[in-house]
Amino acid sequence: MSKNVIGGTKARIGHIVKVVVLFILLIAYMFPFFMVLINSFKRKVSIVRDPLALVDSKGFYFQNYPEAFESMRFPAAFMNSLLITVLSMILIVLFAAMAAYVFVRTKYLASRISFGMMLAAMIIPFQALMIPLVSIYGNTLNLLNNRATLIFLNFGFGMGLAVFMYHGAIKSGVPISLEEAALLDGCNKYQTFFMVVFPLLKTMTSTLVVLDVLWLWNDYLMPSLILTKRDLFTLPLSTYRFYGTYTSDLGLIMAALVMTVTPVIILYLFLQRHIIAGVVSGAVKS
Amino acid sequence: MEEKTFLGKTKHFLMFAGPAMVGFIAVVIIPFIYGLYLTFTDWGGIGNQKNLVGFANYITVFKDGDFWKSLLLTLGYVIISVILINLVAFILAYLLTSGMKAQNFFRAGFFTPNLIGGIVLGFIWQFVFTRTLPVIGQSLGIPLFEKSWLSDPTTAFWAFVIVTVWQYSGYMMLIYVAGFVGVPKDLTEAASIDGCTGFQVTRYVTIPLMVPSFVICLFLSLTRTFMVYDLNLSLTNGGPYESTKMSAMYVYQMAFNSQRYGVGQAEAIILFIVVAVVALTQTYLGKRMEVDA
Amino acid sequence: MKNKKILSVLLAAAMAATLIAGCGSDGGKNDASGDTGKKENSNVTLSIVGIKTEIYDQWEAMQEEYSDIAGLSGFEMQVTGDETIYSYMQKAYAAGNEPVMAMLDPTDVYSFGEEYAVDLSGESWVKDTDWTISIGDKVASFPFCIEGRGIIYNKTAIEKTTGEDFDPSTIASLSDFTALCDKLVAGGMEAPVAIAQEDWSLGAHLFTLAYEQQDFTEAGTSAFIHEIVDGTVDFASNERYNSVMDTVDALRKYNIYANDPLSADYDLIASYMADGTVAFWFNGNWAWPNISEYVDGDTEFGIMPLVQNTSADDKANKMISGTATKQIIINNTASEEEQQAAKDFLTWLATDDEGKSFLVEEANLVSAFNNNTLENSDPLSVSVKQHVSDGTMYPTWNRAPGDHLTVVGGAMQKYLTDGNRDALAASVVDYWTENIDKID
Repeated sequence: MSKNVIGGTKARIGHIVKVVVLFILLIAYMFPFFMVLINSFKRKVSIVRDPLALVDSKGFYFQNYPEAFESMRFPAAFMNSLLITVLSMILIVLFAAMAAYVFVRTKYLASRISFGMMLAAMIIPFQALMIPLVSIYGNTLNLLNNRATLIFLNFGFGMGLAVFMYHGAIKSGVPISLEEAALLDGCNKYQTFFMVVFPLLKTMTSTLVVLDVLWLWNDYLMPSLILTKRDLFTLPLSTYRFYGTYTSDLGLIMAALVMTVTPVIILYLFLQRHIIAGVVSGAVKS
Repeated sequence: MEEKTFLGKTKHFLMFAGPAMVGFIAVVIIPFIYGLYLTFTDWGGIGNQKNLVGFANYITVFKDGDFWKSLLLTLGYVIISVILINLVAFILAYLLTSGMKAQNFFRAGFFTPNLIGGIVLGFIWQFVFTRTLPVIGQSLGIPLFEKSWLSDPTTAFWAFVIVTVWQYSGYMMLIYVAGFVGVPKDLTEAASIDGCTGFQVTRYVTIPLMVPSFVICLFLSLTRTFMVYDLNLSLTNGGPYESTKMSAMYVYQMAFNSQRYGVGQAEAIILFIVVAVVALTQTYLGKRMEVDA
Repeated sequence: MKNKKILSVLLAAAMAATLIAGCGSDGGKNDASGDTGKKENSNVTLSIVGIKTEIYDQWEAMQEEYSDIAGLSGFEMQVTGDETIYSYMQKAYAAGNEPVMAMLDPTDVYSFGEEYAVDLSGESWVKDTDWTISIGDKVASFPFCIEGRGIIYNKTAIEKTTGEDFDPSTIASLSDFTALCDKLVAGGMEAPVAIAQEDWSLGAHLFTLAYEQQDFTEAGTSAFIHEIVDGTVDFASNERYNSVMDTVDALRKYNIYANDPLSADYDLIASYMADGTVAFWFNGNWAWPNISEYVDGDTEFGIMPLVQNTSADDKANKMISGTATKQIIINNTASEEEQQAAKDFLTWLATDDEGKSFLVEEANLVSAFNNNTLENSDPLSVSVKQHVSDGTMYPTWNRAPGDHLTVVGGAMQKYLTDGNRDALAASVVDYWTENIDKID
């Protein structure tokens, strides 16, 4: 009895210490984001002179938001970002899971070589591909200023990481016995994959969706190579008009940033619940 | 599962991996090969004049002491950062899967660094290191913080490491969390019933089953830190006096500022080979340690 | 059931993606080449990249107006973000999607102009300016604006602190300058000087004076660089180098960031300049938009030379360095109609009253054309313009390769902290030894 009580107290103290440590860390982690938020409500003068101040010396300054909204043509850019991100992400997740599946479950030479190449390709510095890429898709094929081109390129570039992560997840998280059972029940290969394997990969899929959406939504370098017409601009591309060598519109940048990341935060919060739910529903347990 | 005939194998492979391979080859492999070809030319980055020059660019690279110096610096930065990133990320993930209240809130919070990129991130951290910390250091008399960390090569290096760890540990935490959550509950429960302590369950059941997560995170943190560019540019811009110029930045400047495109591209290839050897060795070793659930 | 649903949604989405990928391609340049010979420009869309960030809004307003005037179907402004115009153009050329016009730094005109610039020698405005860049026989660029650099001073703050009238022409040597600084310190201005730590400011603007002021000509500067490489001149003991660095040392001494020079913050310095916390900043008239954000009420500013302790008739003590820093080229890859429309646009900028007024009155820039007599309103531009008309501006040497400012800027950052002149000279000579093939 008494032993249990002591154990309980100890556990409770441990728990409190844990929470306190986590909380302090959390503040450190969120600090820069917090800075962006408070500074988005200030004039540039106050941002530069006193970035730590919670409010502008002349009170809350909301003007950055409408001004940034207008200047970056937010609605159009938002729709472009949305279209490009969602379609790229779906293509990546779907085809990467399928590819990873065949890579894990077969010992074909093609599987091994392909997987090896994808792994290796994740290490290629993007800067090394930049010029060849634009000269092939631009000068040779004349496919620039087209959202479809960008989606296709995102698809090709996203493959490596997604296949790699699904590879690990299938290997450790999908019991082969389930698939054998499905095949015996008369499922064909696609049915087995989509009805048995893919649902089991829910956790990894959610994780990947978050990581890929984040990358696609905030990506600057690749869209900047492909899209130069203002009508096609994504959110990050339209934000870049606030940057300059000698002077940057810090207030507008902060406001644009807050408006740009808010949808991603919402998605993350939503999917996070999904990650947990997917596990609780017990697909793995069966 | 596997097909027996060559035709059957091909069909099976293409059915699943076909679309992925088309995209991958068209977007990554072909440009890469074209880029490789460019390293054997004297192309300066502008115009159509390209002459084959054999290995001349590679010979230049081997004589370029500054490049090897930056590679060595990068190596040190990578080792320290990778260890710290994964340590922090794993501990965070462990704490945040132990079923405490508000763990979702915490997870979201630790992930926020990934929401901000580029110049804004550089601006904020520059402000922290050049203005906030010195004010605190001077008023409290802490010598370590009295000067800006970004104006001395050693402290600038550590500032860079800290921001790197800050940036990536939330990302890796997410993958570790997926790993923890992916460990079948019945296995850990069985181990507990068999009398294992919490630590033992983690050490002997959870960690071995999480090898894929470790492989992924080590691989990702290795490659990302090896190729760090954005952060390098926005936080230190290679300074003070070029003391924190990592390889990727060096290569970029060689190709785009120094107008020696062939040399820059050749250095990018060498960087690629170095990273490939390190990362693939790591992955190969990791894969051998994997166990099936 | 549930799985089937997921599957069908995914498949539908994938199909939608391929459908969209199939259609809607509107890429490609030169798609206006259909029916030629039309008088109106209704098929022509002009495009340009490299506009100075400070004038984006003015430029876009002007674009719209001009499109109406010229009957263009559109006028686009592309932005480079935080990347250099050089790498932006390099990628654009590789991709084949370069805009019709590009506003470049002079050094980039030399890089791209030979291959890509349309010859402008037949244009009517060429006679009205001294600032075009010629490559071989062709006039490669249109000079957009003149910028000058030197020590920016806050006249109001100086007079307030010293209680005396300030006339920059009385500061004719380094001794005069330090005497004034001492007076300012005595008057309560703790540190009268600010030095930016940016590599472009230190490497490309400040240090380059040591080359330029050898004989104040561009050709002479290039020749001098060759001499320090081949050993004819010992750079470390060169008189001009040392006299420039003597002044740099004085700036370091009175620097508000003297304790930690590399923690300097560009925007903060601009605000210090505006409110008179400091009185001097080595920079150029492009800094006005930064400073003006913080100016309250009437404050007078100007630009004066980086004075040195040399003889009284030394040009360095009277002249500032300046040039047409933004140059527009027309790409020869554009269609005939686009090239013609671009030429018409440049002519409009140089000769039409509205074009002139845009440059000086809207964008607040110093015109590079003799026939543009409009008055600037910002004090730094007024000061630069004054130097131009007084003949006290010598041409900036702008042939240094793109990485010069990184390497020499880095060496200068080091110098700000350790003051080691020999080490600085050695890195400069090393740099040029490796890169001498890049200049004439």
